[in-house]
Amino acid sequence: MSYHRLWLVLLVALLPSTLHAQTRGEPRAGRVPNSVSSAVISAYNNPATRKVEGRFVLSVTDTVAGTLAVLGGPVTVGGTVLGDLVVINGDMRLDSTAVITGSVYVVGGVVFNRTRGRVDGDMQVWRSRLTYRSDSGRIIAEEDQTMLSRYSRWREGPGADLKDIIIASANSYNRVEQLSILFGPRLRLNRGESRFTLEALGIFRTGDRLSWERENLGSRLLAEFRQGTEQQHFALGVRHTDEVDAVEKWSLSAAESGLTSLLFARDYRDYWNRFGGSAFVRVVPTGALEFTVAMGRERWDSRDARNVFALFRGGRDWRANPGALEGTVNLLSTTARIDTRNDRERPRDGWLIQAEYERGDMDISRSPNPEELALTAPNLTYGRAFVDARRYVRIAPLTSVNIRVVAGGLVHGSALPPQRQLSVSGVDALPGYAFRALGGEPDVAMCNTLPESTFAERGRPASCDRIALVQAELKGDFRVALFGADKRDDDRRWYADGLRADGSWVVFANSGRGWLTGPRDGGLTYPRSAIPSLSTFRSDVGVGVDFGMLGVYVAQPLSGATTTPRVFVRVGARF
Amino acid sequence: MTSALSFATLSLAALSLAALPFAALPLVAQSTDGPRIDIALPTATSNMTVRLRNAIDGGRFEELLRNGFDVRVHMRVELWKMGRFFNDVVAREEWDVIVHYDQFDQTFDVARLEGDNMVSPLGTYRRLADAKAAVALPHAPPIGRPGPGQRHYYSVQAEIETLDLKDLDEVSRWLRGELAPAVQGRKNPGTALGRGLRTLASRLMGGEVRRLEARSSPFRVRDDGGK
Repeated sequence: MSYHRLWLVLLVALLPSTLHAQTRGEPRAGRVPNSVSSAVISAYNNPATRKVEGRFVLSVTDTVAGTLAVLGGPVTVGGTVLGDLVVINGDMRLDSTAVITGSVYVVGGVVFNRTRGRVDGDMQVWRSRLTYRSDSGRIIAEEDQTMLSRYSRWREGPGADLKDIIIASANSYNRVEQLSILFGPRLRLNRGESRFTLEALGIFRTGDRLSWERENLGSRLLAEFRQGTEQQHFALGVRHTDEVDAVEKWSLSAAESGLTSLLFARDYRDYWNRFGGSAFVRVVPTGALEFTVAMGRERWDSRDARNVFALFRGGRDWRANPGALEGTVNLLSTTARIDTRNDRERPRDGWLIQAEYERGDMDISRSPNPEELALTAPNLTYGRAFVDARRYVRIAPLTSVNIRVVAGGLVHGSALPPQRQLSVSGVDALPGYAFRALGGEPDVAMCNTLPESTFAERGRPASCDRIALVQAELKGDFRVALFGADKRDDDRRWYADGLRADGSWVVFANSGRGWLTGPRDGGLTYPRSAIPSLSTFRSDVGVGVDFGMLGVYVAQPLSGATTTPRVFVRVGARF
Repeated sequence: MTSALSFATLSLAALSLAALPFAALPLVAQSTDGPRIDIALPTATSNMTVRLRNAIDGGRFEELLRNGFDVRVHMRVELWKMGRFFNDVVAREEWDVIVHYDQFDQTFDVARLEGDNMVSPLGTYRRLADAKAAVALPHAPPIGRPGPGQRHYYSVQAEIETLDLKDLDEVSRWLRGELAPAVQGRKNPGTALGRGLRTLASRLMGGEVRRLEARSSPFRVRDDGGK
């Protein structure tokens, strides 16, 4: 028995037992073991082996005495091989007349008609190609360093320096800007775990007319140094902004607001303009925690709604964009984020807590209309806190309970500027009630004190100093069994790219309200140390089905004059 | 304004209700040759294994793969303990399987990524079918074994997506208002916008992101280690 034949026999004997479970000649997936690649290379390099490169046909009348090794292939065997047959990176076809007195080893290919002919020995087939280099008629195995390094780099994230020209959107589609296009260079330098990012981006807003004018232009500049990985780092930097920002970003998502704006001319957010700069420090001690502190100075201005395009407008006018308190403000803000959810898109377990505190000292002496906003002092100092806490709990393999508490508002100072005021309204908060419809008398949804015509004329602004909202939902998975009941005890479900073939039923309840701070009155204003009783909250209950990317629900209001249930659709989970 | 939401929501509701029968159709395929996750419970001598079958069958994965977009399969296994009132995650493991098409060699590279930097090559193949078989290899994640006594079950989630599509998903970004590069280097903005539109439609109708979920039967480990 030759040396390489002995190698191959030993190889078969030493293969893991799991491999023996394979049907004879069945191609195996996975990387070719080093022992296998060594054996076939040894067989190929043996001087006694008959070597062939490329396509090869052994006809019925032909006989090869000894080992036959084919590099590349494909190989068709109709004759006789008095020994082993090794095929490297090629397929093999067996005819019924084939006779192989030894074993067949195919690496990087498959065997067609493997039950035909006669193979006295073993038949092993590996689909994965053998990586090798040629040297003076011999072949030498090579580790595929290219692939390894490629995936290692991918895993580690962008390690190389990066120079980009960025074209992206600065905001979701909205009635103030229409499309806001960010463009400009980004430079990112990586040195080990240190990263320096420099961005200088211009903003062009398409608005209601494509023209190069001040209203359509903005900017965003960023210089940031980060030490550490994405999951654990600290960063410091400075940024300049001349951008439009949304007033209540905690409520309906930007994607949903942008979608309804683009499709139906329904913009459920309000906006104002921020111009200024800030310095910030961010600490991420673990992947689940993030803390940021920022100090800056900005100029805040109002933005008017514009007559922008919508696909299915139906003759509707865009809602007016509520006016902002204009002036220069010194800002100190801190934000914290705790995220222990097991899944970002469909959490079943864990917490998501987002908390922020903002202290503003605003010079409104040159504001055009402070008296309209009932502010007479030249300065407005305020402290605003906001918490959005969510808890996801699985109570059974198919059933979850999710709870969300949102609370925030004025904690100190004289008053909040309108762009920092709040409301409890809309499909995200209380879907049983229409968006920005007055919430009874007094109005506990937007805290409006204006006549309704004035309120509508000003764009139905959020005017609450404080809000509180509690949401709870019970979710259970169901399966769509079109062809009879499925008696499986386990559960498999899959999603057709956003739409889940199997969904969840949802039963939910929401309760919340907003209020003003000050001397107690008939139910709208409360002292700072007081919280309205739960009996004054507006509540709704509802049911629905959640198919992952799309959910359809119906909500029934429980208080107020409105008793009609409302149907609504969410893109993604409710929270 | 009270009816403002109704028009939008009812239109979307009608759209979604009309889509429900189509959304349910793939379930039939799941029971035969569709994408699916198989979970093998641990035994006294072996750890649990996960097998993802037919992960990149159908859709546009193959076309995108051949055009240079790597396919990423992200897997997450969780071991849940059933309590009286709540179920708790007691262990979790995640890994990725990447499929890359080498345009020059016209071969498919498959590799598994675990932990921080551990890369396990799963082979290089000439045929996509062989690469798919490598993706479907069973894997035993080092998730540990549950202790005896209480009932447990495994939950497995798989997300299959085409990498680099974030660079193209322009329209989605308009809607979300995110800052991320839509066009990098030599890519043409117009082309990116067109591809972004196509991508958004594709994702809404069933495109390049596929998510699967499976849960094992609840089981209890005996004191001798069996179940």
